[in-house]
Amino acid sequence: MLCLRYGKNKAQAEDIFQEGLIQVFKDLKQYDASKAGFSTWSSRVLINAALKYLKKFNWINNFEDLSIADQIEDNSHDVFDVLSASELTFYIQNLPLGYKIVFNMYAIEGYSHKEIADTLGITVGTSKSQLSKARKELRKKLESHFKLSPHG
Amino acid sequence: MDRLDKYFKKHLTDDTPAEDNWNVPSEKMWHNAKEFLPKTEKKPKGIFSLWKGLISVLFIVMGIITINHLSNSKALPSDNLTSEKIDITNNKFNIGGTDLAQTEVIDSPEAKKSNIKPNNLVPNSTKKNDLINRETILNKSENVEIKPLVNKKTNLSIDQPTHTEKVSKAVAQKKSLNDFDLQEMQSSEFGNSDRQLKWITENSSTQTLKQLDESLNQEEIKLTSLHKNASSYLQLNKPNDISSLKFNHVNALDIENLDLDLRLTKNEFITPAQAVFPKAEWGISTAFFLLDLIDDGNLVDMQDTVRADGTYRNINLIYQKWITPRFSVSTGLHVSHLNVGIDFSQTEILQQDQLSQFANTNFKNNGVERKRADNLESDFWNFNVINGQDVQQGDELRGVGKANVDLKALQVPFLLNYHWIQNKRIEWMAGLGFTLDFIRSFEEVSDFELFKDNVPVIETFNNSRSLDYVDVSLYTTSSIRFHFSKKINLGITNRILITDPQFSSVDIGLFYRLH
Repeated sequence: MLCLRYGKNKAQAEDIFQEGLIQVFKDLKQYDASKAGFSTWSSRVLINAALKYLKKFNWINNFEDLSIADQIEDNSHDVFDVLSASELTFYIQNLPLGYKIVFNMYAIEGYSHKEIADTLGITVGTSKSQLSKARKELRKKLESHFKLSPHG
Repeated sequence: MDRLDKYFKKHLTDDTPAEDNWNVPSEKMWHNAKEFLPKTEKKPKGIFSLWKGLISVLFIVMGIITINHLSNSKALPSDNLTSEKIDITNNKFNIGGTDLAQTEVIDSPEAKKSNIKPNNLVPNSTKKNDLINRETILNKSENVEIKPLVNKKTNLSIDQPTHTEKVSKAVAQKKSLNDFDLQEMQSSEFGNSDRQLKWITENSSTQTLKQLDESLNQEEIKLTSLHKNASSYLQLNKPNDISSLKFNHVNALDIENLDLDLRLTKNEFITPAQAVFPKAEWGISTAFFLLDLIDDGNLVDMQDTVRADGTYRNINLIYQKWITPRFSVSTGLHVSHLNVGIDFSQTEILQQDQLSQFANTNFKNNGVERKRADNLESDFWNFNVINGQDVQQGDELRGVGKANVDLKALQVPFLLNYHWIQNKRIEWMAGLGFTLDFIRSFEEVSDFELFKDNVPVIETFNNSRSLDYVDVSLYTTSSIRFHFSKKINLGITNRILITDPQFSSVDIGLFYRLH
């Protein structure tokens, strides 16, 4: 599931998972059970593998630096309670790469903006702006979905 | 985290496979991944583990044997000692009630009155007990005097090897093994069986000397030489030929009218035993890296990881020649093959000298001056900076990649060794020397990437090279030998490379000793 969220489609997700899996095996000796659960640790390894994989697509240029991220409105609407996981995953997959990475790391994996900034080599402001844009984009898509679908 | 985030997190963190398997990797992916997963064979490690076990067992067995041997040596039942043997506690002894003090030639009136007939001199076996006493004391201490007596009618005595051997052994067992020096070990049970600790009292009768010579031959005793002090009284003109023995002082006197009482100390009369030691030794051994025995060769830091996985095969032929009882020189041929695969991820602050060493002109174009443009390393690390990226001195760069090193080496060692024999079975050695190394290496770097702030700054780099070169390695050795017999022994040698301690090794081998 994690890899599906980072990839653009299932084929990419499988590539990410394959590399992540290999990395998990290689790094297995470094795993310290006293520091983190295995799933947490392996998730981190998979995320790193995903980021490494996505570097090929030069995602660094997908981040638009916006220091005034909070200027973007963040209006929540309770319109998407019946979507399936595959549909939600699909929407994430189709986000621009920079939005997708930050949204996944912040919203799903629970990284802080500082951690995201350190990991990706971007500023905290950029991370926040990417998140806001990702949310906005997702909302737009979801609202569009509900408008078009019978649920709406 | 707003409601959207929570909603996504709630629905996307369930990894349960869906019915239509949309969130399950395909079989093809598993198949592909399997090829890239680290091999589970780990054969080398298995071998190392096996050797670890074998070496541990060997050390334990040798330890038990050593302890057992030492405790047996110290626990000699006193009941086995005869009255003669108990006499070794005294530094004095008497023969026929005579207090034997100092070496002297007595020319007494009684002696002059006696009628010594050289031809009447025959070996006197009745003096056996006295001789046992003498030999006993001889073995007890270097300071104890041995007083062979030439007196009136009892002029000739020959010690009986069987008794001597018996007493020597008893004395040796009673003594601490630590005091049991190399010379004694070699002469009694470990080295040359020819007994050289002999004394002879005789006058100048040629005929009797021949008898004596025959007796000595029968007893397989050799008289190789005489101590220099004894030579003032006795002279052996031909080595091992008792018939050539001349008694200088007696010759100078009127033997017909002499009652001779000759007393000599051990040191004056007896030739010290010649130290006997092996001539040479041939051996074959194989080595294991100490690092392999201690850990898996992985270094993990907070940020950096270096994982090494390698195989090492080695066989050594060793020739050793003794130059003194304690020292030997050794040489031979070591054949080794080392293959190490390394996965590394390291972060470093870029220094000027590193730039000079590794970078090509692309770095120069980015404002960093190179100092040594034509050295070997820069030729090898000829990577290209991605357009638009900038690298400066002081930048923190993270290098990620793989390296493979394949080394084939022929080494010719030259060592000087010191030997110390603990007991019949255990021998210790320490050595110092060097090897001439003829090395053929193949080095390969693949998928090497440099990141600055997690952004790649160079194009993925791959390169390899072969090198042939000669090197010199200095090393010290410490070794333990376990002797199965006089000729065959097992050796474990710890070889510390002074020049490259990380390549220090442990050798285990079998050796055949020539005497």
